[in-house]
Amino acid sequence: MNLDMIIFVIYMLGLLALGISFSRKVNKSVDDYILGGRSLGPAVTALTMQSTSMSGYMFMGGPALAFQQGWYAIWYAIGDAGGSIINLSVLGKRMRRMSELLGALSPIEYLEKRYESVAVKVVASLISIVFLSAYVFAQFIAAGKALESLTGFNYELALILGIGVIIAYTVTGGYLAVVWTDFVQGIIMVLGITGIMVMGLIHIGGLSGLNESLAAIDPTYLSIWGKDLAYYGQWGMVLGAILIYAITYMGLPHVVVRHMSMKSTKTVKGAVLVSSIWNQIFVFAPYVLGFVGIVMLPNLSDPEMVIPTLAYTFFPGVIAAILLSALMAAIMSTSDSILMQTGTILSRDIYQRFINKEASQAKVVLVSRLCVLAVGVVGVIVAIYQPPTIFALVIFASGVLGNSFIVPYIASVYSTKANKVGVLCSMIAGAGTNIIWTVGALDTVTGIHPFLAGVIFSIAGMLVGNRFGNPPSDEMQALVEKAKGPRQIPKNINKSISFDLSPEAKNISTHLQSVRLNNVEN
Amino acid sequence: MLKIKAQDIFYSKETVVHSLSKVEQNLNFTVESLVYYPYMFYEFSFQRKNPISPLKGKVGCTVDGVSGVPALTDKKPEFLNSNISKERLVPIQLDEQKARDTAEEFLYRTISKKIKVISTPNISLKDYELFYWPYWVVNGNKGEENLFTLIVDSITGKYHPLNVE
Repeated sequence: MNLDMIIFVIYMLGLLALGISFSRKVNKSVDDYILGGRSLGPAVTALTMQSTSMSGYMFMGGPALAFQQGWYAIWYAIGDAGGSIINLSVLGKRMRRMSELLGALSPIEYLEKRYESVAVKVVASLISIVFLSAYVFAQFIAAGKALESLTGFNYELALILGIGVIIAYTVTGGYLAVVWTDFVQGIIMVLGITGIMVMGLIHIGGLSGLNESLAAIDPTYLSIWGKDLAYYGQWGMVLGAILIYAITYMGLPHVVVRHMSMKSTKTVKGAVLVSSIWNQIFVFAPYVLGFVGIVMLPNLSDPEMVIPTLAYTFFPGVIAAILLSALMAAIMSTSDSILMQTGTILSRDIYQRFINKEASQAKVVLVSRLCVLAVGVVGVIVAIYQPPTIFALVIFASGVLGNSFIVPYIASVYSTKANKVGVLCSMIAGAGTNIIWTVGALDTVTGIHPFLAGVIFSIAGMLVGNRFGNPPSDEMQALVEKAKGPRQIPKNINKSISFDLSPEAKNISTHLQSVRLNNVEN
Repeated sequence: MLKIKAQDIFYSKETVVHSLSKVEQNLNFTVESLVYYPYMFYEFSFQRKNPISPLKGKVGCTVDGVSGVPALTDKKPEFLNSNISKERLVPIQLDEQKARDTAEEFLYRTISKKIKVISTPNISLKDYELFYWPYWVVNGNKGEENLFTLIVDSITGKYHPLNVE
C-alpha cells in the first residue's frame, strides 16, 4: 500500500469517525436526527451547501473541456454563473406565484397540478429517474479516476472499488454526510482549488501570461469558437452551451421536506446569499485551471486529470492526496443524495402508487435499495465498456433533463392553453431529440447543439400537442391569468415571504372568500 | 362557538403590526382577523436497531387538515382548550384515516431518503390529536387603499400573501 492510499484510508476513516461521533452527540433524539443541522450559522451553512454542490464535474469534466477547447469552454461557465440570475429575474416571479396558487411544494408536483394529469407525473418521474442515474454515472467515472490516481490500481479495478464504496455508503447510512463533515470537506476543497489556481497563475505570469502562453501554443485556444475554430460561426452551439446551465437546473426535480417549527425560528437567509456570491466566483476556477493545464501539462494523456496532476505538481504528495481524498468523499456525498432521490421516486412515486398499492414499508425500502443497486451495476457496465467523458455525460444528462422540463415550466405560466397532451409531447420530444442528436452526433452535421435542438423540438411538441386533448379547466386558466399579473406587494415584504405556507394561504383565501360571500348573502 | 385544541399565540397582534411596519415603513398594517387552521398531529415511536448507531425515541408529524400536506415537527405541541366561533375555523376537508396514512407514508419517505437506514425502522403510532394553528390575517394599506393581504403565522412569525380578490 503506497503512502497516498494510506492517507486516503485514514481520511475516510477519520470522516467516518467524525460522522458517527457527531451522529451520536448531536442526535440525542429522533427528531434532532431527522431534522438536524438547522442551528448553524450562515457561514457554515454556506460552505456546506458549496461542498455538496461540488462534484466530479467541477473537478474533472469542466477542466477537461477547457484543456481541450481553450476559452470556448467559458461559455458553459457564463451560463452557469448567469443561470440563477436569469431564473430569479425572468421566470422566477411568475412560477413562484403559480406554485403559491397551486399549493405545490416540489417541481414534479407542480407539473402534475398545473397540467391536471397523473400521466404527466409518471413521465416526469421516469425521465428524472433515468437521467439522474446518468448524472450519477459521471460521478462514478470521476470516483474511478480519483481512486486510480490515488491507489495506482488500474482504472477498472479502481472503478469497481469506487462504485462499490459509493453503493455501500449509500445503502448503509451515509455517515459521512453529516453537516460538519461537509463543512470540513468544503474547507479542504475550497482551499485546495484556490491554492492550485493561485500557484498556477503565479507560475505562468497571471492571466496575461496565461493568454500569451496559450497564444504561443495555438492562437485558436483564445478564440470563442474553440480550438482550431471548430465551432466557427456556429451560434447554435454557443447558444446551447450558454443555455444548458443557464436554464437547465430549473428542471431538476427535488423534493422539499417540510418542517413545522413549534417555536419561533429565524431563517438563515444569509447562507443562500453567501453561497450564491461564492458560486459566482468559484464557477470559473475549474476552467481557468484547464487553461493552466494546456500550458503546464502539454503531454497529459487524460484531460480529466488536469486538477489531480496540477495538485501533485504544486503541492507535496501528502497534501495532494488529502485533496484527492476530499474530492472522492465529495463525489460520494453527491452520488449518495442523487441515488437516494432516484430510489425514492421509483419506489414511492411509481412502485407504491401504481404497481403495488398495498406494499409494506419494508418492501418499498427494499425496492428503493434494489434501484440503487441496479444503477450501480449499470454504472459499472457503462463506465468500463463504453466510458464517455465526464463532461459529455453531465452535459447529456443535464441537457435531457432541461429539454424535458424547461418548456413545460415556461408554458405553465405563459400559456393558458398549454394542456396535458401538449406537455407530454413536449417532454418526450425534448428528451427524445437530445438523445437522438447526441447519439447520432447530429451537432457536427447541423452545427446545432443537442440542447438547442431539444428546446426547438420541445416547443414544437407543446404547440402540436396542445391542439389535441381537452383544454385546461376554466379554474386552471384563471389561475394562469392570475399568476401573470403583478402583485402589489412591496419589495421588502416580498423578499421575506415563506413559500412553505403556500397551501395554507391558498386554503385560507378560499375560506375567507366563502365567509365573505355568506356574509353578503345574509 | 366550537371547543377546539389550539396552539398558543406567540406573536401578538401588536407585535405583528409593529414588525411588518418596520419592514415596510411606507405602509400601515391592520389586523383583519385571526383564523384557525386545522392540522392533525401524529406521534410515532421510532426504533432503529443499527449496531453502529442505535436510536430509539419519538417522532412527530403534522398533516394539513385541508390540503393533506405533511410536515415533520420538532417537538410535541402544547395545546390550549379554546372556544372559537365557526367562521374563524377553516373547515377540515381530510378524512382522519387518510391523514394517518399520509403521515406514516411521509415519515417513511423522509427516513428512507434522509437518514438512509439499511433496514426499515420500527415505527408505530402512539398519539393523535386534531388541533388548530392560529394565523393573523393582516392588510397592508396605503392611505385608504388596501394593497394586499397576508397571513402571518402567529407562532413563527412567517408570512405569505393571500390571493383574495
